[in-house]
Order: sequence, then structure tokens, then C-alpha cells
Amino acid sequence: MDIFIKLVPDTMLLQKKPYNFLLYLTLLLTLSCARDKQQRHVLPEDLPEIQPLTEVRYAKRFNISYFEEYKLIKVNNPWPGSSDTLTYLVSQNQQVLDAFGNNKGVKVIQQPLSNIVCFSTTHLPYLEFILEEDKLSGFPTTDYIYSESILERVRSGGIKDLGPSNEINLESLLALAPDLVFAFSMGNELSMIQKIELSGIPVVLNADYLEDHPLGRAKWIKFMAAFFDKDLMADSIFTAIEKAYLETKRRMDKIQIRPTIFTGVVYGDAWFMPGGNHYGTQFFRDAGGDYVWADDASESILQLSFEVVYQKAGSADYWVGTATYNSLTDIEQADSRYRDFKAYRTGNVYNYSARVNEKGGNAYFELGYARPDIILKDLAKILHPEEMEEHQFYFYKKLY
Amino acid sequence: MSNRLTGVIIFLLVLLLILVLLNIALGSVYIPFPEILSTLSGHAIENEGWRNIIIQFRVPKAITAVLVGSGLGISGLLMQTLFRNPLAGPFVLGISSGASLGVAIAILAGMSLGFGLTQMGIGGAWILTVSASLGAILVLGIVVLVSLKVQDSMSLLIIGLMFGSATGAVVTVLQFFSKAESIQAYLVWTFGSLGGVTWQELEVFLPVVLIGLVVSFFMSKTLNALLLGDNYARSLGVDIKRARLMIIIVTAILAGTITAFCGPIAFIGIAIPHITRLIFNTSNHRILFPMVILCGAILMLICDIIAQIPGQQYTLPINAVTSVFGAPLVIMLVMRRKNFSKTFVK
Repeated sequence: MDIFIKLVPDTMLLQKKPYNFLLYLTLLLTLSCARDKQQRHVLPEDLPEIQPLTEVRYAKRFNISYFEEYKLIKVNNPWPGSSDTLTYLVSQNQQVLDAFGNNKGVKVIQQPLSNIVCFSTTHLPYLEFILEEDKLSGFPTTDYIYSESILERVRSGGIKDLGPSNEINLESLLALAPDLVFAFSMGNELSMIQKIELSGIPVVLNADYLEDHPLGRAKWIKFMAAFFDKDLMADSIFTAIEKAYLETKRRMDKIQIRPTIFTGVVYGDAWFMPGGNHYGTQFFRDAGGDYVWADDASESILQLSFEVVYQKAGSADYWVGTATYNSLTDIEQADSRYRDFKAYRTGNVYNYSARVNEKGGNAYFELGYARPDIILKDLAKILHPEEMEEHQFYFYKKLY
Repeated sequence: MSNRLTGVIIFLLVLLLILVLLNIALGSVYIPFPEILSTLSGHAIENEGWRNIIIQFRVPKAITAVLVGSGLGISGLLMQTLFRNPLAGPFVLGISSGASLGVAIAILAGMSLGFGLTQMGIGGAWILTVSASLGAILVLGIVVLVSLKVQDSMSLLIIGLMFGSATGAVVTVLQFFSKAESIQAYLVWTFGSLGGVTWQELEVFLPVVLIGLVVSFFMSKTLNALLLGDNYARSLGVDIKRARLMIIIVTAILAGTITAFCGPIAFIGIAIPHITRLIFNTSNHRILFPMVILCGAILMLICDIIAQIPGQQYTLPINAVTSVFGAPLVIMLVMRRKNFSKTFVK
């Protein structure tokens, strides 16, 4: 494993706490996650706080630091527009927990965790990969779930449905008395999260969905694993996913011909199109595609008028990601003007709906964050089928 | 018709024509004006993409804007006259609530009820159109039945409002139990959209709205009588129940169809009749009808031009523009004229 040193983004230097200068240099996992609990680095007394040992590559929003009896897990900017840093301290040692319990800036979480609740399907694959899915006892809107083994536990009553995700049934949640809730926030659920915390249940905010690199999102497996002390396991899983992703990327980078590609459909009068630096755009680039809005500088999703898309993407080779439309007929019936797109005429239209169960749970939305390597392979096969003959489509399917 | 009125109508027609041209000329994609003119006059232009944008996007959208503005204006006028209430609009009888309920059932309950409608595409234009029409017809049917029972229009107004609340509540419950993406699809529908109407849909939309407008035209005498009170109208030989039924049906056809194709377009229906009355200082329906049609079309075209933010690749939801732009206009007109109530019944 190669060791590398990476400078953190400038924004991190502006953080208030003085010890953060140490984040300057971030070392590799070999030193960090690779450690078992017993073998952890003992800190010298004069450096009581941080020995940042997690690399910042790909994932910008979390970091983990390891100490003799505890770990500090930090989430930076946990929701859009937030400049907060949340610090979670996890430990099995009651003395450590008590000592930090009074510190307002730190949220203390007692290990081991035996009963947890997750709020997003994207959290579930991480749990499954580190073999901790049996700890899950509740989930909002279980209809969203795709994983058959987790659904089996929903049906047998092992996992309780906590009601619609936008309005969690607080009483059901409290009745489960979970050790920890893995939540996420778009910025407007904070009052609900506060209520849960006030009732004594610790809540951890997962910001995987805000990472702008596909591997950055996948890397959050290490975040989840840290709470279960499965850092080493998560690290090797992530490394394998990273390797697979980069391998496909390298293969596609060599190809000279890059077909043009666009995505999305029109809702009302607006076509939501990922900006040139959006998470989704990175996939198109790495899969050997020429994304039509690649020149755009924004990281967010653009809201375009139909005619702009018609003008710019009308002659694009591939149309990948058609929301709820799952056949060419659906598309044409929705708006006959879609027929004028070259990708439609040549039948090069694909959607991420190859695996959807009868209740609407979609594997792409659940597993996609954790397995960007598969998404990339699918996309590479769409754009360069001759290069990817050995790969079978997993998330995507061609529409007819 | 006086000369002054003829002059005003000609002026408004010219303004309408200019705005239609402007509406077609201005959009997110820049197309030189000469190219627009040659495309519209049937000449070939070099850039096939531009031609398609003009023919497939901008012309149907401009026609839709004209139909929506005039159709909602007339429905609003009919309702304000029927109820002799300046706060009435095309949707007071629960037509838009009914349409919303239809769409909500299609989008939100579609999947859980196993209809699989959403599987066929949430944006599937005809599914939404048909569900909205069915919802509007359902609520309207009940209102018509009730209108045959109750004596005065005021009771009908209250019953219509109650229907609106009840259907709104059902929609809220549906939303509560729906998935985020379905709620989003429903919300997008409620924003309203003029750009979603294609030529194919105009084949249905255009004749229905035209029929509604023409029929309403023939009712102006009855409406003038109604404005002076049910008893007065009766003494003039107006069959009140029949008149009421006709007004309701015409309003439902206009407002229901427009809502089905474009979503619940806010504000225009209430504002246009007031704006027209205030500008022309009359409550005579023979004059109001053509003026409401022209003013409605003109205002809607202006709103749509603003919503496109010409030159930008972004668009605003049309409902935001109609309200933000329309409300100050009405306030300004009302403030300027102190005897507002006199313009309503003269």
C-alpha cells in the first residue's frame, strides 16, 4: 500500500480550533484504520488531542482520529450551507465517556452498539458490508429498501417501520430505544433530530450525499464502521472498491473516442441537469464519456428550460438516467418532443432501474453510493460496449 | 359599439400580436429575430434546431399562454358575476381542488394502490390530464347536484369552498404517506407549466377552450341581469337555475381543462376580471368579455416572458410569476380608484 501525504483544502485551515493545524498533514490508513483496538497508537501526554490518521482523499466531510481508549469522528459541514463541525467520541471505556460527557462540543457515544436505527437506504449497504446489519432495528419507510435480507427482517418484525421519512414517528423510535441513530440532514430536519437527542438517544449525521466524488461517497463505509470498531474491515472493502473503480477509469481513459452523454427528464418546465462538477458528472467523465454540460462550473444541479436541453443535448449520443420512464413508449407518451433527441432515435437510452422491487425499492439508490465501481462499469459498458464485454449490467438497463 | 371601444380593441389586438411575437422570440436559447420571422412565415432556415425550438416549443407555448390567460379570465369573470363576489375566482367551486385530487391520486397513491400509473411515468402527460379532468368532473358533478337543491348562490359558494378544503385535506393525507419523489412530482405539477403542452395536446386543448369561450359569449345578457340580483334577473325572464348550471358547466370546462393541461395556474383568474373592470370602468359583460379575453392573453404572455428570463438557461415556475407580478398590479389599480365597489356592480 502506498503512503501519501496530501494537503487538506484551504477551508480546513480556517477552522477555529488551534490543534487543527495537525490536519495539515494527513497520513495513510496503513497507520490508522489498520490498527486493532488493542494495538492502537499510544499518544504522548503532551499531544493529548489528535493524531489525524485518516486520509482526506475523496471524502472531504469526515475524518477519524484514534486514541488509546477512544476515537474522535468528525463530520464537517454536515448539511448544505452548514459550516459546523460535529464531533463524536466513541468509546467502550466508561471513564473516558464520563470525562468527555461534560464537554459541550463533543457528542459521546457508548460502544458496543447493539441496536441502531438508520434514516437512509444509502446507510444499509455499509452495514451489510461490515456484517452489522443485524443491529438495525428500525427504518423510516421500509418500502424504500431493496436489500432482500433486510426486507426479510422487516417482514418478520425484526425491523420496525418508523413511518414516512419526512415525518418520523417519534414514539415508535423512542420505543425501540436504539443506542444510536444514523441520520442525515438537508438542513430542515434539525428540529426533529434535536427532539431525538433530547430524549437521550444519540444521533449521528451522515453527510455521504454531500461528497462530490463517487469514491468520496463510498468512503463513508469507514465512517459507519468506526462506530462498530470495524475500521480495518471497512478499509479493505473500500480499498477493493477504489481499486476496481480506478481500474475501470484507467481503461476508459485510454479510449480516444468519447461519446456525448446527457441525463434527466423535464419536470414541469424545468430539466434538472447535474452541473459540470457534480457527483454524477464525475461518473460520466470517468466512464469515458463527454458530458454535454461538462464545461459548467457548478457542483449543484442546474435547472434548465426544455429548449436549452433540446438545443444542446439534441444531438448527444447517449441519454442515461430517465427518472421514472422505463420504456421508449413511456418517454414518448410523456412528451412527444423527446422523440427528436438523437439518443432516442438511435435507441441509446438507459435508466438505472434494472433492479427495482415490487414496492419501488431501487438497488441503484440504495447500493449506488457504496458501489461506485459497479455504476462506473455499467456506464463504461453503455458508452464503450466493446471494451466491457465481460461485464453484465447491474444497475442500468437499456430502454426499449 | 362606440368608436372609442373599437379603438381600444384594435390597440389591444395589436399589443397581443406584438406580445405573441415577443413571447416566441424571447427564450432561453438565443435565436435572431429575422430567423424567427422567416420560420413563422413558413420559410426554411439554416439552423434546423432553431426551427424545431420555434415550432415545437415556443409556438405551442405562446398559444397555450393565450388560451390559459383568456380561459381563466373568463372563468373568473363568470364566477365573480354568479356569486356577485369580487373574491371569487375560477377555482372557488373546488374545480382546481378536484383536479389536484385527481392528480394526487394518480401520482401519490398510484403506486401503493397498485395502479402502476407512476410506473408508466410520473410526467406521463395524458395520465395527469385525464386524472385532473376526472377529479374536476367528480367535484363539479357534486357541485351541480347541490346547485339544483340550494336556492341562493351564496350557499353554493360556501359549499364549493368546503369541497376545496375537504379535497385539500385528502391530498395532504396522501402526501403524508407518499415517497419523496412522488411528492416532488406532485409539487412540480402544482407549480403550473405552460411549456408542457405539445401540438398533440393542443389538438384537444385548443378546441375545448375555444368552445368554452364562445359559449360564454352568448351568456352576456344573462350575466348582466344576474349582476343585479336573482330577483331582478328573474323579473327579466332569466331561468336562474338553468343560467347557474350553464355558468358552472362553462367555468368547469374552461378552468378544468386548463388545470388539467397546465396545472393550477394561480391568480390570473381572479386578477384579470378586476384589471379589466378597473381599466374600462364597466360591468357590462358584452364589453367585459372581449376585454377579459384580450387582457388575460396579454397578461399571461407577459408573465410567461418573465418566467423564461430571456437569455438565461434557467426558468421560473409560472405560478410564482403570475402572483408576484399580478398582485401589485391589482393593488395599484384598486388604490388608484377609490370607488372600487362601484366598478363591480354598476
